[in-house]
Amino acid sequence: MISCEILEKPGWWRTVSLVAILFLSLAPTFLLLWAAVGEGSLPFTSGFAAAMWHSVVVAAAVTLMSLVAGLPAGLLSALYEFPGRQILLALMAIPLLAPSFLWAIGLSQVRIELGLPSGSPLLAAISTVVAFLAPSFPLVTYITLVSARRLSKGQVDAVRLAGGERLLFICAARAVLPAGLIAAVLAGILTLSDPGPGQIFGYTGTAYEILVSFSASYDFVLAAQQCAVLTAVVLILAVPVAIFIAPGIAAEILGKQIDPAPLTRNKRAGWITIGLLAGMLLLTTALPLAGIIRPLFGDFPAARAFAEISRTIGDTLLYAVTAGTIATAMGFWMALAAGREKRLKRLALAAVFLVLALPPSVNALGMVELGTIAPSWLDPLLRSRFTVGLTLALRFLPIAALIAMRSFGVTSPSQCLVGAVHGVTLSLFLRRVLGPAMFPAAVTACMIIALEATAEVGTVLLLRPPGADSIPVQIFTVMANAPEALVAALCSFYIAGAATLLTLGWMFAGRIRSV
Amino acid sequence: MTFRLSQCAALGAFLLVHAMPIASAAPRVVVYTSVDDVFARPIAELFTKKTGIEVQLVPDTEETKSTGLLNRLIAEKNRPQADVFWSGDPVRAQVLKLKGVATAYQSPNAAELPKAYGDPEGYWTGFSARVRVILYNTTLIANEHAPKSIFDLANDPTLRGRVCIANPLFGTTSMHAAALFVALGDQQARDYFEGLTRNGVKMVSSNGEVRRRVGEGDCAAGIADSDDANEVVKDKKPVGIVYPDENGIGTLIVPNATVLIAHGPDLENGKRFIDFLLTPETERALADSDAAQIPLLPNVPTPPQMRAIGQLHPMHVDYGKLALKLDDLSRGYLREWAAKNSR
Repeated sequence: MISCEILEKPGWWRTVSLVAILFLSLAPTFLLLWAAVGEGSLPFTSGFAAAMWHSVVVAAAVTLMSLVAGLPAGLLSALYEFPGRQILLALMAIPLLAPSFLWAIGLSQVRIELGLPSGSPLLAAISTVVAFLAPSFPLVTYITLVSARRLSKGQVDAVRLAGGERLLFICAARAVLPAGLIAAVLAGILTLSDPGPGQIFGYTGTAYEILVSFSASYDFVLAAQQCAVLTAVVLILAVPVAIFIAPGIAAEILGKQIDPAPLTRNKRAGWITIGLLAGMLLLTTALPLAGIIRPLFGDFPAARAFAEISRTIGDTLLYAVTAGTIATAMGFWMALAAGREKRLKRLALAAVFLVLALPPSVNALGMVELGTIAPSWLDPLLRSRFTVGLTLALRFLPIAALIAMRSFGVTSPSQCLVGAVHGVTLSLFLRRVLGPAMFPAAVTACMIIALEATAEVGTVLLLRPPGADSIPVQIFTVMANAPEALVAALCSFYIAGAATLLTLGWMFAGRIRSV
Repeated sequence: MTFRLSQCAALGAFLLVHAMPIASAAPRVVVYTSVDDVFARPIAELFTKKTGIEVQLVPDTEETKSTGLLNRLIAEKNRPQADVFWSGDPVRAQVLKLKGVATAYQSPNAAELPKAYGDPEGYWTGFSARVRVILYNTTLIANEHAPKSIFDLANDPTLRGRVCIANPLFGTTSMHAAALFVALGDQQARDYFEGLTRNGVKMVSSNGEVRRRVGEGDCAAGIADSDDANEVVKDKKPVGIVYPDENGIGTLIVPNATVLIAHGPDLENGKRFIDFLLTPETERALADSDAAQIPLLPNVPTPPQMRAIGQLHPMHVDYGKLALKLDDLSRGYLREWAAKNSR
């Protein structure tokens, strides 16, 4: 029997596990990158440098703005009770459900309605950033919220007594800054691999250059080389952040009481939080949504939209659940493997940045190649609906890994050591102690990944088996030529259904556990 | 709270069940298509109704935001999942021929179709067509002042900063660009594109976006496909349509193209599907659809809002050459042009 002590002791299994997970995550990409090795040509096509600059500008702006708005919103939501808290927080998740290009189209429509000029590079850049902020705000808000809920009641009460609400906010903000910052950096990095909004607003970045290499030139080698350059840039930019937040994560190794502080009522703080959440919802959700559903005022082809949704909803849920489950399992394994060792944590952080920086199409195409060269008996693994979920899980594994690393960081090592003294096995410790302690984080990770996976179109488009579309892919494939009203109706059904499920789920979760 | 083995087993079973391929006892044909789902799916259903063969459709779009099914087909070349690729234009079909993904098939139903819209070696066969048209917003441009030629969009100072076209690296716009280089020669075609830049053309992400922007009046005019034109008119937007260059280089015809995939899982059903696509019944259905496609078979009526193929002055291009030209352009001049005009 293995003792639970293994979780707190150094061991070869840690490095092996991390390398194995990293290899698994990148194996499909390696297939494509391999072809690029030894090729003499350079990835710097005309416009690549400018595109890189655009990408960095957008990523930096999204990182900064999502942190500035998302961190206080998440923090205040974690500390205070206010009217409509559950619903507002649930509605925040809507942008995570839809692909970014959809929000970009909605915003573009609003721009036309408002008569704003389309040629201005500044407006193009701002619009691109706003479209990307839609999924970034909730990501930072949620991760900050979860992080802030790990502050103990004792800590919160002590700071409140010492300096009131103002000091509490400052101290709590300091405590959750590493988590909020890492979420914001993740959100920024995610923008690097998404060409949609930049194309729609005319502020194209590296992802567009890679897309052109893939889709216009069918030049896998060039695309792979460009991916490699992008990844290198991401690592260069992300390493200082990783070094900066490492002490914050290290500080969380200390044992803590993990009973969260109860939510308190404070009129002023409540209104500020409502204002922040409502402002974010208005800018990133309501505004583009108004642009998307505007055609419905003329016509509402409900029956046809309902038929399309019915055909695709099963596979949509399946992809989301599979991706969420696998990514969460892998992410938590990764967190246990990294443990409390700084060196391994940094290795894990570098790995997650690397995985996130890769455009999803690269891994998906690698998976297609893998499915092609593999024997047919592997088809259930490499050419099925499971493959779609698996590839999505590999894509969003970093989110689960980061949440899991933080969750593991706030557990007490003494529990494990005491358990070891009393002969508690690893299996029993995982089931009775660590599992329940990390369960809320696992649910959060699973939900965020399921939402992100639902919105990811590129991977599903390339990997779905015949006859197994998801709702966003269906919207994507009809939107070019279907009547505007049908596209609007599909979007409306999808978003309304998702919002209802999210609100119910959030309210239910709120009843059983104060998240 | 504890975690039990049974819970893990249930989760494992859930994942395993869904790992299974979607099995079906009925005969089936797998069709990858870049034709928009709303137009392709009814045809697939019609085929199933007539033959009992289930069509598993994998649609894509000509919009520029995807990596595309063509890449998937190329990646799957050694063990394809698709039997047929139904392309919205002949260039992608020709790419599959050049990449060794297609296999030759001369359908008996292709005999009546014009040879100009097919591959002489039978690697792809063209049928129902769209055309490249100019859309203009009738509230911004009076009918009598509507641009008559694509060259007006580059040269007319009254249209400065008011014209939009889709990214010429993607979709039918890329085919149109390649056709201009083949028809006009490199220098004249480059001059045309430079003229567009000088006249402040707005490059947008897709033909659908051109349609939206012209319909909303954000652009006064633009170039798109005839199905986009039909949709925008159907949406009751103030848009007029011009078949360009009737007295010049002519209007570019964009036929659909059907390709039999080499070593596909079911070649026989693939052939049957291709045969079906080339029937008058399919051409009629596509003509009656919202795409209002123009039939290439002589006895199929043209939709009333469109011109018959015989009434058009077509741009004379060798469709077989367009793929190679486009390959060259999308690595060189067009890539530079798009980079310059996307900022």
